[in-house]
Amino acid sequence: MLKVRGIDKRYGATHAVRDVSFDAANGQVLGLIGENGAGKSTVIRMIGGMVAPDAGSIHLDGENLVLRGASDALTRGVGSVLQELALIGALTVTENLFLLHAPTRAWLSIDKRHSIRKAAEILARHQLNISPTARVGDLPLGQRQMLEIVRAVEGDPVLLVLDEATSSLGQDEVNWLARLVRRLRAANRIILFISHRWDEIVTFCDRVAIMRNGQLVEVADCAAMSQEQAVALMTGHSEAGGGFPRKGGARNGVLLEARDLEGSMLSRVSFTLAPGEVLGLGGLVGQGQTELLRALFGVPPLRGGSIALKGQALRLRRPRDAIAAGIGYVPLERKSEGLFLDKSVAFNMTYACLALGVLSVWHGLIRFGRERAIVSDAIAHLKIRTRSGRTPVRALSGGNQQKVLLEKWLLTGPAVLLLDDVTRGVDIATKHQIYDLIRALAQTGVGIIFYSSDTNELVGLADRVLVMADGEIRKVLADGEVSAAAIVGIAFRPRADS
Amino acid sequence: MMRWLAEARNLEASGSVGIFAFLFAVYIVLKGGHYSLFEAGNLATNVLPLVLVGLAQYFVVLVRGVDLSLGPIMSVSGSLAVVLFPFGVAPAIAAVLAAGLIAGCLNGLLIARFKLSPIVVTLATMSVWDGVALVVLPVPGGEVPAGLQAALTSGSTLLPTSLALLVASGLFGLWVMTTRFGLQLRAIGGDEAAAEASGIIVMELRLRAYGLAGLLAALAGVYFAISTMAGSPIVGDGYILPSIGAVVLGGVPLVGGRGSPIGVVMGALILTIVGSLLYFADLSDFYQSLIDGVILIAAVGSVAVRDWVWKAMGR
Amino acid sequence: MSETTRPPRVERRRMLLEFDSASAAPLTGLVSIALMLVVCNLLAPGFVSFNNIMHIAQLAAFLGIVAIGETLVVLSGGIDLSVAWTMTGAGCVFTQVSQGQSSMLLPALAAALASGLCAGLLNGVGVAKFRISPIIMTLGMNNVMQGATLLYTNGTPSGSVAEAGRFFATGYIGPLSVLVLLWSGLAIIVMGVLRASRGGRQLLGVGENPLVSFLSGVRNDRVLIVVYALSGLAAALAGVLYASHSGASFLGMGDQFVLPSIAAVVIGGGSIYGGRGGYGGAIIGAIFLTVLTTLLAIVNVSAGVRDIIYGGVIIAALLLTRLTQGAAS
Repeated sequence: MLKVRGIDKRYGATHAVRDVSFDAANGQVLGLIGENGAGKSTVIRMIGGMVAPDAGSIHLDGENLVLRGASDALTRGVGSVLQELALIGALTVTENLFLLHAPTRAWLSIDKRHSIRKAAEILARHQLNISPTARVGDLPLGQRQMLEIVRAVEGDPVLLVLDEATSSLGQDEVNWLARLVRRLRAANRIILFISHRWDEIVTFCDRVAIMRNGQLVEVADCAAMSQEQAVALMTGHSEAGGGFPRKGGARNGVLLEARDLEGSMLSRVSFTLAPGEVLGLGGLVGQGQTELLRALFGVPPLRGGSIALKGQALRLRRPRDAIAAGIGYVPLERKSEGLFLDKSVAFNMTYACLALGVLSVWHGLIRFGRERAIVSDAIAHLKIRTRSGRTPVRALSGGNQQKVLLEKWLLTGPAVLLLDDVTRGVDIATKHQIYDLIRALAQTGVGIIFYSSDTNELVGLADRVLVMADGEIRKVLADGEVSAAAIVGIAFRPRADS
Repeated sequence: MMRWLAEARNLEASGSVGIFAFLFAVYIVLKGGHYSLFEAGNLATNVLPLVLVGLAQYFVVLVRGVDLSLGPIMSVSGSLAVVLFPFGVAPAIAAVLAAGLIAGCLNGLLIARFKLSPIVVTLATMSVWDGVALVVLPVPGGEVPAGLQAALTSGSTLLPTSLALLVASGLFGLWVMTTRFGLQLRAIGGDEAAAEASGIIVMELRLRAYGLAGLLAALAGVYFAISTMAGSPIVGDGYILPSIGAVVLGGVPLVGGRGSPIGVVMGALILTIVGSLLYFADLSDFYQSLIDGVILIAAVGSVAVRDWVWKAMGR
Repeated sequence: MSETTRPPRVERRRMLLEFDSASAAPLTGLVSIALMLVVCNLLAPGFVSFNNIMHIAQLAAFLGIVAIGETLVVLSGGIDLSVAWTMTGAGCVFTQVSQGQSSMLLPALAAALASGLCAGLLNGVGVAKFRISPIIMTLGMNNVMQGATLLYTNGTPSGSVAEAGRFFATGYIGPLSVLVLLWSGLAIIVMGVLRASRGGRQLLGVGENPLVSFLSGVRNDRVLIVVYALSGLAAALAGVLYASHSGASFLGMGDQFVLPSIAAVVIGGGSIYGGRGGYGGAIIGAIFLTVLTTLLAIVNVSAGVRDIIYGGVIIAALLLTRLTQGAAS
């Protein structure tokens, strides 16, 4: 029996988890669902021992669980499979399976043959078609995920935590996992299953706990809840996709033209972007949308094809070329690619336009007065919640960090702005602010190409949508054709020649 | 094709074997074609300290670290040994090895537990151990028991002891890497976060790696003192760069996680053989340090060039 | 997001986050310097006089100038272990080319600085273009410079420095040492560039997160090459001044500056991983270390004990910095 009482966690200004309590009984699968940033990952990190709660307690089978790290957790019978896989790519399957307790011979050497045999047994028992001597880094993502799940199960945990465990699994593999989970239920284990997809929760779980904004909003039987109810509780809105600013406003002419782009993952990509147009990139995750955005930014340089901005052909060999030409890119991972977490709001905002002369006056010297003015204007205009321009960005919440990142690119005065899943991990209020911002920007004639993993966002925001699959554009949905059904339908349609 | 590329990753160690074989052949040719077991013994005597310090550095590099204080630890152990030999050979050696272990663990504590930067810490402990060596033995000298040198260097005419010790060192390195300890070191070097999440107690292992390094460096110092019949408080300074050189030439990447101890042994041999070749090229001693530096830069730089070529080939 | 009343604990933590932990270290450094000077005065009464302080400042200047380069390189996320023989080499070039004649001072200076610049450029290219780890590249370059210097001097450095040249290292304008004035001038320039120039900002960005910097349009390569070149230049200048101070150069004169220059940066609050810190802290670090050396000389211990204490103090300072940083995060 897992009893969680009043756990709480803050990261700087962000109250990630507020006073969460719930129970999970043996032989039960409890689902945990919520939007990005709702606090699910933090909760299971606390249960799994990776992070210590600021307050509250966790009891497993009557014992108070105070864990200090993964090693501790494994000894106490808590196994976790998190989103960042804990397998070491440079080592083999066998070595990963027996990282801690490899069978050894009398003189302390690991008995390789024995290990491989035991590994093969384990793999066979779980019906995993993987060679025990394969290098984990060479395995496809789905197999790696399954391997990690097997490793966690082999540790014979009393409590198993699965965080987005199906993110890289195909349908057959998901079925495999469902069978595994059923076996564990029968063996009276407790399973916590985190997902952001309702259909999965219904497949795997008996009960579900819904989180929003760090709080536990509801715990109920899966059978007693519908998807609409769940979505409503997750988002706090009664309709699934309302609240987008009005579309339209694309002008005549061609702002950006791409022809036959060939690059990492991309093949024969061609499209045009009009001034003031908001162009969406849709399709399943990982079909080349991020690659296309980055290719338009020069990262890495394209292998073939041409790009023309305002009629002028561009040679983009590195981001610097793109920025000079008037293209800005807001990266996918704001913490590792977009912002200097330990530097101030002001430093981050002004970094990209340092070379453009917006700030500096004489031989590279910074005008502090002007910088202060620009930064405080931005903070007021975008309603960024921060103590001052000198606060380190690390202390800001996800949504405010994203606003700082956006302002950084707005200051470069781009003609084309590329947005890579810009509302990921951002709270609802900020999301709507960003939508308004995008529309306002488009009104001034800036062309925007944005990728979103949220179909509703695409539908609500984009004038046209390019649906991508396997690195090429499957279909261009024009004004009026854009709808969730259309996007999903095309994304899932098998290839014409397969 | 994929399997060939996978094998090619292990080529780095075998590459160093090839390079050494080539250089060694050149050396023999330059010497006029004969090479006796006695001379092999001499080579082994010369190279053994570097092999041991190189292996020490190897275990540290495996966990993404670097230890610049291994040289001074070597100086301390050699100096301490010759001072303690009059009290008995076995206790002297035991005390010295213990000192090396402690020195290594000190580094490990500061780096693994307090998370200080390896470069700065080992630069500071370098100063400490240099100082200790000077305190223990202000001028080179001391006493080495008679017979000890002969025993550990030449031994019998059938197999010079030094050669046997050289082979033993290589085998020792290989053995460590077959243990759980070795596997976990590779795991930490390969992906520290994943290793931690898999239940490995990274801090403890890292500390042990540095401790082992200190121990091996001390062993190197003792052997050097015995084989040269004297201790010197500054001998280790000339081993710092070459220890890293041996590791790099042996195909071990500085980011850790990979590489074979045999490569390190080969790397040490290559550096030593180059020194001998210089003698034949009739270049003054002044070139030694220059060549050492160039070799180090070229070895690491060539990896970058090779990676660039592989990337261009679309790997 | 709803407004909640923040408990005092969170408030304090936010304040600490904004309080630049890097500014705590120099403060500790200043206090320690004062303490050590008090001890010096106790052991050698009358020690703390204006002349003596100026003398200490002179000694600190050599370290301080080398630390300029080291600060820049460490800020970029790297390290420069080649300062020892770059400095020695430049000193030897200076004395050998000028041969004690004042007419040859300028060409000698140019040659010496050029040698340092070359070494630095090579370091920069190796690190930036060939992606060689800075430890390896600069350690290797140190050896190369050692070999080059030995070959150039044929094992024995020759020449001397003319009076006119020695003035810069030993002369006084009124009560102030020319060397200290020179150092102060350089310090102001360096601090200004780091705080208030575009290049300084870009350097901080490259050091903290090269990927973010690259995606923001900065030419990381150029920044790195410039920074290593400047470090070589600074080491060469220090070598020239040191040779001028002693009147001649000797082999190995740069060795005593490697650890202290890096320690000065770290003790002064700079992060060895790059992106954080400034030259002001390094100045305090340099003075701290020089006062420490002076104190140890007064206490009259053997060279070995001096080394031990020196290394021990640096380790203690590192621990202190780490523990105070840990409290703030």
